[in-house]
Amino acid sequence: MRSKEPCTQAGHQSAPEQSGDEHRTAVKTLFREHNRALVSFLLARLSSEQEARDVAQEAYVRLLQLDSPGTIGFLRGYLFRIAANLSVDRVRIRAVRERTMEVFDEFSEVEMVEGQAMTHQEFEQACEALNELAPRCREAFVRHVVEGYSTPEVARELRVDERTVRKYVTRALVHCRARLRGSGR
Amino acid sequence: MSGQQTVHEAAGDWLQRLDDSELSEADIQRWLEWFTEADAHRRAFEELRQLRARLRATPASWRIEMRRKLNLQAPPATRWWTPPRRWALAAGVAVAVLAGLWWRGPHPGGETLYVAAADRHRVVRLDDGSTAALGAGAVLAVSYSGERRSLDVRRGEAYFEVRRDPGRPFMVWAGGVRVTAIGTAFNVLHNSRQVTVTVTEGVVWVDSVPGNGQVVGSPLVASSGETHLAVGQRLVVPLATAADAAPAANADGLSVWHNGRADFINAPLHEVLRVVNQRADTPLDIGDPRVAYLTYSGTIMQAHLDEWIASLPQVYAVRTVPLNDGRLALVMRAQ
Repeated sequence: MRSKEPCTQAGHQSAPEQSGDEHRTAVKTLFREHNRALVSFLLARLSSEQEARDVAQEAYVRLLQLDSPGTIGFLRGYLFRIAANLSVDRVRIRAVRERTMEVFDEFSEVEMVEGQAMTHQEFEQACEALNELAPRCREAFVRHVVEGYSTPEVARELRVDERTVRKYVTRALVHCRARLRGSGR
Repeated sequence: MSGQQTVHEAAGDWLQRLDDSELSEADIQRWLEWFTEADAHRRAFEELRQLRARLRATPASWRIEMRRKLNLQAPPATRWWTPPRRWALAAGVAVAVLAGLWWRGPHPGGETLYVAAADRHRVVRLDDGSTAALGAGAVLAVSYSGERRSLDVRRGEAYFEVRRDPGRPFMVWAGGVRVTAIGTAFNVLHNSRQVTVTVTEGVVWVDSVPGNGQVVGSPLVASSGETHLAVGQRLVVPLATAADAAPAANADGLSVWHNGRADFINAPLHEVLRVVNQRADTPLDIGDPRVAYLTYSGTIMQAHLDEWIASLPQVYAVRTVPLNDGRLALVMRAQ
């Protein structure tokens, strides 16, 4: 099914072969050193692990296709920029995966273990924890994290600025985590 | 930022800032520095991110329960976390064009031929604003005139979302079957054995049905060889030339189920659904070829199949359409 394009590994004839190889190595290094960060970054922005994975792979593919490769520092910035843009688009292209896999064999082994679904008991603990917080803090948290309203939307509803919403949400999340940590996970 | 921030507070702040679609490059850079600076940073970030994801993934009933438990007013409007996928379709097409994954060739007689590559689907935006999502390997010929919009599914599967235009019927041919719509959404599957038409929105008329077409679902409203299909209905027309190679026999022999669970890594959804349907009370069909090639990784527990099915619209931009025969069809959500 795959390998309609045998060009991936066997480019012996072309002139810029050397720099192509170097570029490939640079991207591999980047992958090794920053893939975990990239995936975390994407998971923070996207709703599913699969999407994060897709976007990460697409970002690497684009990086590989760069005409004028740069330094690792440049590539790293570029990688995250591509990923950020892609995560906005949520472009999912399955096709690129096959091409990527050849370069990143390890990709399938990257651990991206997501937590299990929340149990009802944990959920109740979270509710208890939230009840210890100020009502507005609770409200901001529930709207943003649980119900999925954007920060600007919550800010408008609660008539506070966005920084305050973020502060509320962080406070509540950190508090929940501290209370949930004692039991279970 | 205020003086004494704990690692977790910093992590929580970052987590929220990363969510911002207008994240600047400098922010990304700073986050990356922070994230890679210490293991504790990474751990705290991951911990909070996962907690947030798990809270987000709670069932809708719990979310209502939460408001009650926290003594909060009813939510402002019912809505769930919907990813903004307004641009996804267009972007997908644009990238496909750039990648040269498919081609469009003008054809004699004002006909345009769209061909989806053998291993991927393709979304075509037609001149009238309708869209056709072609399954892998599908061939669609399109010719529009002032009076009608004619399309021919020569091979494979195509899902149509039709722009309403009462003056210009939208007519889709598939192996001698003609489906006419004005503004609606339906799927046509044309393989060597049969043509299947499934309606996911509105109504279509099917005529010139050769042989013995069969409507699955509630009784058809038929008159003079014309069949009306409404939402949730499906028409299966066996083709006369059924002497072709046997279809790839169900590979059901190799059950993926093992101790009540099935594991998938990057499997196309159509494969996953085939496995799920072996055990599900309510079988799920692909109602739209774009759905078939979404990929899935994860474990499905037989004991929680219903929850798994219910979670699909949260994981992907899909929705389920109940069919009258008790099955469910999965289609992409409208943009």
